[in-house]
Amino acid sequence: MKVKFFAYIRDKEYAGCKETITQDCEDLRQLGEQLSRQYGERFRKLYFSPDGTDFGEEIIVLVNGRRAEFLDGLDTRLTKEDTVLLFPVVAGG
Amino acid sequence: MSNGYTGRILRVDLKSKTIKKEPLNMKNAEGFVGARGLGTKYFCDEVDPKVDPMSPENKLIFMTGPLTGTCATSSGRYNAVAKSPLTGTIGAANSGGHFGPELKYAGYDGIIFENASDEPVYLYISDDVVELRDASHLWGKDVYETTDLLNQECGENFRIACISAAAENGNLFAGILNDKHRAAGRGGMGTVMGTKKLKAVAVKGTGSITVARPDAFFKECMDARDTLAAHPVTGAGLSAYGTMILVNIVNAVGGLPVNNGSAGSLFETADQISGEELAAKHLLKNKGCFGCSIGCGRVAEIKSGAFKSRGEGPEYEAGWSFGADCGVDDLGAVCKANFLCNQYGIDPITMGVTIACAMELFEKGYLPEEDIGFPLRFGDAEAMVRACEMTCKCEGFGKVMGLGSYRMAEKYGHPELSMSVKKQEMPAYDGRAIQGIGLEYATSNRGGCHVRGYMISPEVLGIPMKLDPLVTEGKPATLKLFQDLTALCDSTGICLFTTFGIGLKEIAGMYREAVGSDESDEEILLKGERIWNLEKQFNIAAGVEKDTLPPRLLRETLPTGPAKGKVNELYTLLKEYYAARGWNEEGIPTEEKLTELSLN
Amino acid sequence: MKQLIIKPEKCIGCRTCELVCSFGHYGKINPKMANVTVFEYDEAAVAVPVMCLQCEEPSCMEVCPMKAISRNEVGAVVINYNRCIGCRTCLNACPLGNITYHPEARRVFKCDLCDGEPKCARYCPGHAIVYEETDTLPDKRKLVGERYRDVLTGEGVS
Repeated sequence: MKVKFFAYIRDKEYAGCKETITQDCEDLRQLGEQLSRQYGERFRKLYFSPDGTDFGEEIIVLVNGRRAEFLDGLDTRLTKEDTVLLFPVVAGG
Repeated sequence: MSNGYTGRILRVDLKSKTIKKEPLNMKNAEGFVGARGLGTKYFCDEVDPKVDPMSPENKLIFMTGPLTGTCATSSGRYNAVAKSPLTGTIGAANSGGHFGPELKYAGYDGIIFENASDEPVYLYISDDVVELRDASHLWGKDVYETTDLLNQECGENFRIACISAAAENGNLFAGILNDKHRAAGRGGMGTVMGTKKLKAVAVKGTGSITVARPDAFFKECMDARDTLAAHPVTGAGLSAYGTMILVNIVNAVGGLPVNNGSAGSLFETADQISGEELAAKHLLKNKGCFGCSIGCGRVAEIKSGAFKSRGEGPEYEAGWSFGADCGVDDLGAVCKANFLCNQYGIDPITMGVTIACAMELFEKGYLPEEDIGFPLRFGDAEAMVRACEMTCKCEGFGKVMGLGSYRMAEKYGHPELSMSVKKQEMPAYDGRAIQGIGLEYATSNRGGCHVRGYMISPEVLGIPMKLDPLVTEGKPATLKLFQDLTALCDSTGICLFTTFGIGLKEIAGMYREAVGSDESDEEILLKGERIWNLEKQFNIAAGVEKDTLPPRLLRETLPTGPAKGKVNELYTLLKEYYAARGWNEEGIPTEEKLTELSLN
Repeated sequence: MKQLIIKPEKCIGCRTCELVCSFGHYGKINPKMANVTVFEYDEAAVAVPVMCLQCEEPSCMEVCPMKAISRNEVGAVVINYNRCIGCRTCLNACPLGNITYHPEARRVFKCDLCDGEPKCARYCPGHAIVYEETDTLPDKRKLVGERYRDVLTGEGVS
């Protein structure tokens, strides 16, 4: 699947790029693990809650535009065609 | 006074040129807080709801709140209140910067302007010296020129709120701009100022504001500041990227209207007009309004090319209205159009949406090219900027666009293509993809507007709770709460953006210590509900049309994106909303509700 | 010794420093009665907070006819209001304009570093005012070095 990053997640302290292609993960938990291995501890702390059972409080994870919390959370299944978007919590108006 | 208020207002009769200093009505201040609420209360008590907004009988009120100009965070706000010439509803537009606080330091909570002058004037305020002065040399000048000239004339430390030529020449969505770049933008408050031949207010104050319980107040304020600084949005996000950071996420949920909403709400090249792009390429510096710990303001510059320009912004709404809504993905063009709106003092949301509407009318063959003078197609950045500039300068077809999208589309026989509620253009979120915001547009007391109960916060951003944007459940009750809290927040004189990080507890806390009240949080929130109902009562008496949305949102399903196939479920939402409000099925406050709120 | 260091590039022009200063010293909310003032330059997109620099050889202290000005233990040059007669000689003597008079306060005032915990630095949202050991100043020198490094390695040329 395609993974896209936004705002400061694009900075070098996190992903350091706008997007990446990841092919071999089954769900959002695996994706988080894989990206955390690639980008390091700081990314892990953003993606996962401290006990690892949920998303972190400062990340918004969308699968094809739907917020993961309204799907199956970390267990949301992913296919090759999916696009995962990662935003830090932002606001505006 | 030592309760956050200065205890005095100015009453200025522009016809007889008399200026009175009168005591603030403390009973009303207690019931309606300040700024938006108190301004509206004064207005409703003094003006016939059926008044023609363009007539001298309409009044224009500037009002600050008890927290304006204090140590409370983001306390730079004042409200301009009048009957709106665009919507016919109560108009109340809120602005930051430094003007509001300066008015209080000069010793006034607000100013009521009555009648109209025969010749251009401006109001000069230097502490106790208050005079109406000739402004004929300023008439016709834009916001920047007017501000500079007045700073030369009065002194560089005066704070200026003024209108531009658009407001003088019948544009119905002209705002009042203060400190050059900050706008009481929506609903034509500047237009009303123009009808009164009042060009500007220049103010300097050297006095102090005192509060009821200083030490407790200071502590509440500083605790709130620390909370905001620690919050990811108000501490880091907004200052790093400004409001434009929303472009990508709203687009991602399929809620960023494209081509006047006719092409759904997923913009292929949204990233090119995003906050990330703005920060990376065009940002000169961050700017904060008075006392603000958030600092969402941007100074941006397009350094070269056809759209070479510089100014403050753009904010998300303008980024969208001139961008995705016009099918334009050239950030330079978006910035240029936004800066023009600032310079000429008009509302960039209404402007962009009106251009988008004209584009749709043109492409569908309803609006002939000879009327505009050039082809005006979606995606044409140059034509978009040209249309904006001619409206700013009230030239040619710009005079028609200056009436807003509803009156323009009606003239060409297709009012249904105006993306407006109560004739005011809806902002940058599609009510089909985000159900609660659709309800908010429909019920807003000043027509299509996003800052009367910002449902994007729970529905897209997950603040303070996460609500699924596609469903209707839970939205009406949440919206009611948000509307009441927003009315309270606006009326205290602090910025609505603080509510991303703090809530009722903090706002009520600062309010209590400032005014010396011992009311509970709930009693203070009730003032917000009272203000909301007062605005509604005015609109009913004014004969404003019922709460609804443009047919596009109710009947045309979204073609793509996560909300594909959706329309706004307005009637389900409205029924529940009226019940949550304690109103009857027609959306009219019941006697019991009015009694509960001491409004009858 | 710590001193107030200003970083104009970070100042957002919000004047929170003026607010907390006037409140902290005078119990009043009045930016014009503050020991710090923010100057905004719209054209240059710059804002600069300005306050007393606590000179090594303070002119104000030298000229005060009442010997009301002295240096305290945190290094601040402070006014003893028990001795001050409000003659404003110090205001004239300060070459940097960092002593002010306000009609409502009816006295001269200047930055006193809030007894070693300056509120302006504590609450500046942009960290444009910081209160730091002066021996951290060579950091600025280090920045020059780093700039050479960046340019020579082809990074961050702007």
